[in-house]
Amino acid sequence: MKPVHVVEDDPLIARYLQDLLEHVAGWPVELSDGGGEVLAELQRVPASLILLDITLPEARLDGAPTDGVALCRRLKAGSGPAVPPVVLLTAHAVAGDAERFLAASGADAYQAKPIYDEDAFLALCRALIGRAPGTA
Amino acid sequence: MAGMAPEPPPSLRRLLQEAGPFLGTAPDLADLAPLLVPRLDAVAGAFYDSIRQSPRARRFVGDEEAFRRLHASLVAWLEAFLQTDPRMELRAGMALRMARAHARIGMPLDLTLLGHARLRQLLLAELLDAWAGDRPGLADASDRLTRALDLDAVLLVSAYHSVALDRERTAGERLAQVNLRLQEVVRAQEMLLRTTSHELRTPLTGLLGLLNLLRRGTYRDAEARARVEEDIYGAARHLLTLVDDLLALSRIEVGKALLEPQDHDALELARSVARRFAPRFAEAGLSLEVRTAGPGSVRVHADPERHAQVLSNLLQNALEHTSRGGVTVELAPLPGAGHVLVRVRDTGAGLPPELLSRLFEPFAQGRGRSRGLGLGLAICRRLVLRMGGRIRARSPGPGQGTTFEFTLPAAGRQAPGTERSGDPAAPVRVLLVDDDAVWRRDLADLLAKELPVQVVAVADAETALEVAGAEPLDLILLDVALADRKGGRFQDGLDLLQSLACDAATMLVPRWLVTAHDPGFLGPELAAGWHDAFWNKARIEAAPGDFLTAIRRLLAGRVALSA
Repeated sequence: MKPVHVVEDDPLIARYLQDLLEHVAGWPVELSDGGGEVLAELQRVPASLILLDITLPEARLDGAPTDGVALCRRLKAGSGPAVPPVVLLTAHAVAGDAERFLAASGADAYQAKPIYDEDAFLALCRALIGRAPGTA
Repeated sequence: MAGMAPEPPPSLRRLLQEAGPFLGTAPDLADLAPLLVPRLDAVAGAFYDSIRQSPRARRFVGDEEAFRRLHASLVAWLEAFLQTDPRMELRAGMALRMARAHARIGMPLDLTLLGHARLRQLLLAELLDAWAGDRPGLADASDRLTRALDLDAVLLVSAYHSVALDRERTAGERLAQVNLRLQEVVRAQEMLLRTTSHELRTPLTGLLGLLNLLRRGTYRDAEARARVEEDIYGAARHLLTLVDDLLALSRIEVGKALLEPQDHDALELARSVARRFAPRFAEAGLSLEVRTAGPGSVRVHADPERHAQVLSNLLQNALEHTSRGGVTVELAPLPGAGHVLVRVRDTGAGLPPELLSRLFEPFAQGRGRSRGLGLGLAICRRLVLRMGGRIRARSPGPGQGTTFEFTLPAAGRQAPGTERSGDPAAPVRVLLVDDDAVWRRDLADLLAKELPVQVVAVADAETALEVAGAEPLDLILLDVALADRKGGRFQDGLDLLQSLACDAATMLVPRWLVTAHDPGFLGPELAAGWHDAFWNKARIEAAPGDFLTAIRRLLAGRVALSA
């Protein structure tokens, strides 16, 4: 199985997601700290699923500061056949955010932080991985 | 009589455009001047006697000193009226000056016209009395005098009209400014709420997640478990700091944090704070030096604990953002001896100009986890303001170091240029702004006698802003009809009121209007809500107890006042 690519700038949350996905779900994980030209990394790493934080203060897109929404939009607009499903992660959980972020980014799903129901979250990931190109 | 102004103001030009075509030229009264000028003193005397008898008109004049002043200026005005060559611009200029003066004290047009009619009676009576020539000559003279006064009355009405238009326009512009500012505040608050929510959720996410993994028995190996426990503990501590900071910030913001100012030596305090930081600086390979820059005492009057908190925060910041070189803390009394300057200079990362301007806003640096959460400087700023100082940051640019400077009131200082009464150690400060010297003194005495407050009484808007900028205040009492003594940018108290309402240092300080006017006269300005209460001077004079009770009630929440 291709790894789940976690892009998260907070080291503690990154640790948690890694442990959750590796130890509880049993999936391989690739971590990015969300700094620099993240898009190239997203395109390069073969992944079964991308978990993408929205707030990435150190991320750059064509040299300019960016966020997960813009990165996802660019990734999804790319031509390659093997763009994995993307789950946006954010602690910006205010009513209406989910719809707005999903519409703006073209992401497949949205997960608010903190993650209250891990099992539901893992089920969502599992379903998306099942849909990922080249899985089966 | 002053020479003609080279460039008539816009309202005068408009006035002439509006009124001019209807009026023709003013009659020449030069031949009447020798006859009437010696009698003008008597005319003015009779005029003000009638005003003394009218309670409504009297309210706009004030004390006997004001009567004397006005008497002299009325004589001068009548003299000019008789002697001026009949050019319309000069007549209109005089009318406009009068209309502006009357608008400033809130005198309505009907009273002005009544006064004008009274003056006409008096002048015509004097003309009749002084006339020694033939009857047709008298008829012509009184006709010319009447027409000149009619014209004057018409110009006065037009001048009132144009002044009102000017006021309306500036009021509209000011309202638009305030509106913009309020929108900014609302936006900033929404942003703060969103950012706060984000900043709280982030450590909670890691904390809850790892805790849950522990509960699920994910970590079999004891070493991994211990490491996760350590991480959870760190996240919880971090969260606690954040919550404490938020609480501290909001307490300072609403003025609830109690400060206990004491005289203490800023150098000693800086050394003791530096000693606590010394091991961390040594570990990072950075120097840390404390010194005085220049002679003079650096004793300050401030809450020592908060003072140390501000300095610690700045040192912590400097430590985090400096990778080589070091940090210098310099202390110096400021010229004028009213304040002491504390400067924290590092050789670190520096700041881009765009960040400098909003550095002291909550979460300005916001996101970098290693840098804390950007509340420290917001707390510093509010603490320093509350202690009566100012704080600022300078940086030549990224990579070139940062200098933070804050000021604190010097121990045992007296603010220059202000009248002071009351106990200098009293923590409650009331700023009184009124250009009426008698009223200023009486009210300051009343407050100082009846309440444990420190009253700073000033006469003009500029001094008021200086005081408001230098010292934390608990209440501002101001008149709206301030004379513009210095020819500065304040037309009157309303401008001052707006400045105080929009300035971050005084935004939250209650502002009470204390004036001789009806609220109705203020119109749109009052509706803007720059003031928190409205007091009529006559009401305070009649029942000072009500006024004092209201102040006690207001201040009771801040400091325990003995009634």
